[in-house]
Amino acid sequence: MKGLLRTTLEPMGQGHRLLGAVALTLILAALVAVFIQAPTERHLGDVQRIFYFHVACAWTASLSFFLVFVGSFAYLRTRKTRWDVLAVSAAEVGVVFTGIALLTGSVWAKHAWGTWWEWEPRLTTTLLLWLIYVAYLMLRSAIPEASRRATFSAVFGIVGFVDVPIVFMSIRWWRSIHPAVVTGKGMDLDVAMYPAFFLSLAAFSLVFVYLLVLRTALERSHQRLEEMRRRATFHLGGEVSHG
Amino acid sequence: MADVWYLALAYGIIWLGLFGYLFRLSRQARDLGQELNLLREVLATEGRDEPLWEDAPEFDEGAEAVMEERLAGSRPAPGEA
Repeated sequence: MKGLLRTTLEPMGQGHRLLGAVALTLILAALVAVFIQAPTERHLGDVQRIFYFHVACAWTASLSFFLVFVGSFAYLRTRKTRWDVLAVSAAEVGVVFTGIALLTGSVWAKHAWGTWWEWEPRLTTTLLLWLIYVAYLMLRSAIPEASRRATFSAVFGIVGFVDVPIVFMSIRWWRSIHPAVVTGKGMDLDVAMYPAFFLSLAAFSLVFVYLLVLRTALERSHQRLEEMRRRATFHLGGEVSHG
Repeated sequence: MADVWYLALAYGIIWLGLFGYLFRLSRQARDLGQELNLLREVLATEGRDEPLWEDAPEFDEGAEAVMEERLAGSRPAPGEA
């Protein structure tokens, strides 16, 4: 019991704190690079600085959903709870980052295109992606039985991942007004913007790992508590019937 | 000036999203801790305290087998004679 409580509140002990400290340092370094080192873009002005963290959020969301795919696939193969825990944790963190990417993109669009939202391929497929994983989380909360919940959501997690490459390719497959950073000829970005861009990617990747570790520890503890509660009910009920 | 407003709005959304989520996680951890305490109290009231669960290995690593044995009485809990 004490071990479980410790697991809940201190997922990785010192390692976890160190990870948080490094992530925070990288975020601060990225902020300096974005607001001080990176040059101001000619057409969009300072609003273009949204781009660095917006892309980092989108990248982190893709990474999350890839982990949902990996966790789901591994769960169906091994039936080990830890893969299901990874999948649901990554899905929740991914939903948060996709939500942030959608909202910051909308602010950017208002300035660049004059509208908060445009039903164009990249935005539409990203919104669909967010809805898919919100549905994934809702599906989980609707199934009380643990193994059935894990199996159904694993299948959903694998099928839902199909939208991730579609989001990435959408601006190449269809006519889109969304800018493309990575093109067939390399990166369409001023070299002076590279440090801010890559620092933001690294910082958000670490923030993602930090949140994932926290969420995974919480989910594992939650599942253990559920199991213990079930056993306690069974045990106490047994005692009553024996008495 | 409008540039700064959009920039502030976007970065506000980012920090609100990240710290809001962190806050939610810490609140869930606190609630989980409270539930654990409640479960411990219920078990203590019924004459079964921590020994039933103490030293149990991780969920995936045989905890179920150990607990089954303890529940069946074939394996003494830590601290029991």
